[in-house]
Amino acid sequence: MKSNSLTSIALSEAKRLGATYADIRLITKERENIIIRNGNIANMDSSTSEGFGVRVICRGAWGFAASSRVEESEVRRVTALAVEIALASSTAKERDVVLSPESPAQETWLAPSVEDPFNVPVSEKLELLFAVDEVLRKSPRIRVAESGMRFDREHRILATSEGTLADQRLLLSGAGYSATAVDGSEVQIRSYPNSFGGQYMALGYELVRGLHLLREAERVREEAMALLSAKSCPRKRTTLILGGSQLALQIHESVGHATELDRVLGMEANFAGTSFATLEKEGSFRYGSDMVNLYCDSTIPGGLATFGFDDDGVRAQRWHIVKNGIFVGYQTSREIAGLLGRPRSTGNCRAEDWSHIPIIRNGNLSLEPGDRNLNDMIAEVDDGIYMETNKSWSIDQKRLNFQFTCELGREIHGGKLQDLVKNPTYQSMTPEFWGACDAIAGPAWWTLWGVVNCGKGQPGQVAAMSHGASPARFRDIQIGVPDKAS
Amino acid sequence: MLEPSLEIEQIARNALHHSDGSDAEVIATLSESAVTRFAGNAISQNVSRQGLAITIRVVKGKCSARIATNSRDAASLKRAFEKARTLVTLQKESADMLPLPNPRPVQPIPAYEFFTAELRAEARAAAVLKAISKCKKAGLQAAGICSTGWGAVAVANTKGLLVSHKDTTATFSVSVQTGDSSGWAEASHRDFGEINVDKLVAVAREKAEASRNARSIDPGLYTVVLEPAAVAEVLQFMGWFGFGGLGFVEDRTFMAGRLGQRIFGENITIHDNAFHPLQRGLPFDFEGLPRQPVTLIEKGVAKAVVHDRVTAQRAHTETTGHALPQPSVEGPMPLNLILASGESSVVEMIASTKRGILVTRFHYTNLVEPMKLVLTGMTRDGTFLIENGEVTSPLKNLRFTQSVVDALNEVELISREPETMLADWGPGAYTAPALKIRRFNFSSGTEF
Repeated sequence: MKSNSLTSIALSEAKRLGATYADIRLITKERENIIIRNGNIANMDSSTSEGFGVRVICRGAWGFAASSRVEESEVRRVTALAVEIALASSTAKERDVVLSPESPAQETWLAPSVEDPFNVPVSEKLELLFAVDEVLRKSPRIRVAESGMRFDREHRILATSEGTLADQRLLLSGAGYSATAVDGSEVQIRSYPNSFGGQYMALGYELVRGLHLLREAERVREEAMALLSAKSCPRKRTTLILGGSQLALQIHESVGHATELDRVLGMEANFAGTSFATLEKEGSFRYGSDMVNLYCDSTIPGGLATFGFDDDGVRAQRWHIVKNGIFVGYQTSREIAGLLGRPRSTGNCRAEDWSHIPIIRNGNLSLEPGDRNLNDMIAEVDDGIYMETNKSWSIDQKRLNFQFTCELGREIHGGKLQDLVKNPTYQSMTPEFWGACDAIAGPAWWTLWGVVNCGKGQPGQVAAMSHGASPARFRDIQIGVPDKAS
Repeated sequence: MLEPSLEIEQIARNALHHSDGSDAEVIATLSESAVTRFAGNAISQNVSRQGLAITIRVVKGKCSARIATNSRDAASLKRAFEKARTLVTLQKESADMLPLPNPRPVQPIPAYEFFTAELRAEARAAAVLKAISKCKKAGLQAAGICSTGWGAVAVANTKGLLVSHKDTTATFSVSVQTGDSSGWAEASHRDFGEINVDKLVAVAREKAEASRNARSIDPGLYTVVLEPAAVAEVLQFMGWFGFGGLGFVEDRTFMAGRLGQRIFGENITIHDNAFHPLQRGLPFDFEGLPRQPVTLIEKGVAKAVVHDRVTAQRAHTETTGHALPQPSVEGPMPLNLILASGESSVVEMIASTKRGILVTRFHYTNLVEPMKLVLTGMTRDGTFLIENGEVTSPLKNLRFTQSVVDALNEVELISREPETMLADWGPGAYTAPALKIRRFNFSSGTEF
């Protein structure tokens, strides 16, 4: 049966059963995943997942049900189940759900790409990954060499009872590798171009070609081995310069999640937590120094949260979260914007797939580039440290106290990068940290980094988004961990 | 609809019919789960989903290829096998690749409660309403989940192996918030009827109310009493980064090269055992081989890690039946860890502490260093100062950065009553008692 027939059945059935609002998302997602590990193919997956989710409001409350059986009888069963669930929800409501207004749209949207990754022969992908693997394993001290590629394509149809019909085709490409060196009781890892799988963007295979994977493999191997005998991270307060990919995760954790408005209102209190960025702070709270400008952009090319419409049917937008250091905006959904009487949602409502209900997710939140030369930023530091590539992250449930460990650090003395530092760690509080930012490198150093492992919600959902950043400098930051810790 | 085990076995068998003479394996899972979520004293999200996943793997000599689909129709399965047969010819030989295993007897685990599998939204809403009304009357805010569901999994291969398992799960989790504090409690059981919602709400309320007007304390080394939820989180990281066979054979975990040596205090014993009455797990692994109970640590001595056939071969031993879907990047994993109980109680632990900190649970824990298993994370939902054998005041939350290897050498007391916590993400259940640890490092604090 055609998708428009199934969406019509769901919407008319929901209305017949008393729903005042209904939407259905029909989603087909394909994934190709290849991982080479120590000369062997450790993973060669190709997957397809198809299904639909129906969301309704009845008696002012939400219900949602989903199924992988895309057929008329199942659409009817699942729609009735969503209504049954909504009626159960209405027995424990504080107020009726009110959605912020959004003009209905009937549009198609296609993620732009140059070279379809699904058309690139598997043999070509394997050849590149095995070549990287061979370089990484040239030293016996590299105990684990792991390289991989991942490609997703998704066809997402959203139909709502308000008349929206959004037909979107999304794309994700990713590639990267790591080398783990072991020597006695020491284990160190280096990754390229980023940790946890590499770099991901909403592009085609042109992303992989542009990463020049093979070119960097020797450096990555040598750095992993050099870290085995590197100095430990000293414990002191000092000047910290962060590389772009680490700063991207810093943005994600300490600004992105903190400004999801559902968290602020306590909707995630049992699991992911709440936020220090409470409503009264909007428009006046100093989140960072004057030079800190953070904006969300669902239209930016290549962003993993770039789309035509979110799962509420809200058109993609660009807006500031922090402007000249002041906290000025949240990330919202139609439900939460409606709850607060806001004129419009920012369009951050997304679901992992057909089986999950859409919730507020981080968008493509980026730090605007500054105007500094990175070399000058280092040259101005008498005593400090440079850190790059995330290894470990942790932040409290209100997004204040965080501690990050990176793969590689370098001492800075006399304005120059010096000795390698292993397990470089820094810890701070969110407003204090962003307030200590005194230099941001310019557009030449700015990269849009992909995050593909963002977890939120119960049941847990994984979402992808991008964060653009160039290296930035922070004064008087606590680095290292106490001696007694390890 | 068929009974879940029969249905999933039929799906697996039907899929294998399309193998067309090739060596093949099928892993099929079928599930239905529902979560009623509440926040701000109201149901905030309420969802149900039915899902099927079929993963087929074709093995040819030293090569294999894996295709996943969630369609059970013959055309989709035929296409999946055709694609797998094409992909497998493109591959390079893998030294670690083993032929499909022959069938072996599997001892079943009864884990399916019809009442829980069939529970409707109305019943979940009633349980939530009970929790909400108690908090509302007291001027408190409640948030949490009430979830129920069932699942069935089958593993089959062309050598005649076919095993299946079905289970149910119910979880009730509640956070209670005052203006400036929070408390939490959670329970999970395969039988929804065994979950005492009133008790959970009472515990969360008590912790929230006792946590009002929390004060700061300087970071540093303290004696700690970790309640079971906090210990379970530590146990989860030990499973991920310590007790698996792959890290062991690659010399990159705290167990590597240490079998037979004492690495923790003599009062520490850790098993992996899916058959334990407090555990939730599969009686077989993802190759369909029987999952065996394994003693990992006995009286502080490193005894074993868990293996699949690949890591067992490299370690010159036998598989323990802990394979993830093959081939696996992560290697075998213990998914049913149990830290053996002691003779003490949280009350006795507090009473015996001159100055220390009581921790309800941890938040956002992560690995800093693998060889000594240094973890960092925050306390959450009830952190208290203990002075002269009594809880004297609530504390603002603290960050810990601590080697687990060191901490498990400093355990003074272990409680009698363990609790089982399910992994937040993916499979895994962790059964842990409370621990009193002589020295535990808190490295920084926060504002609440």
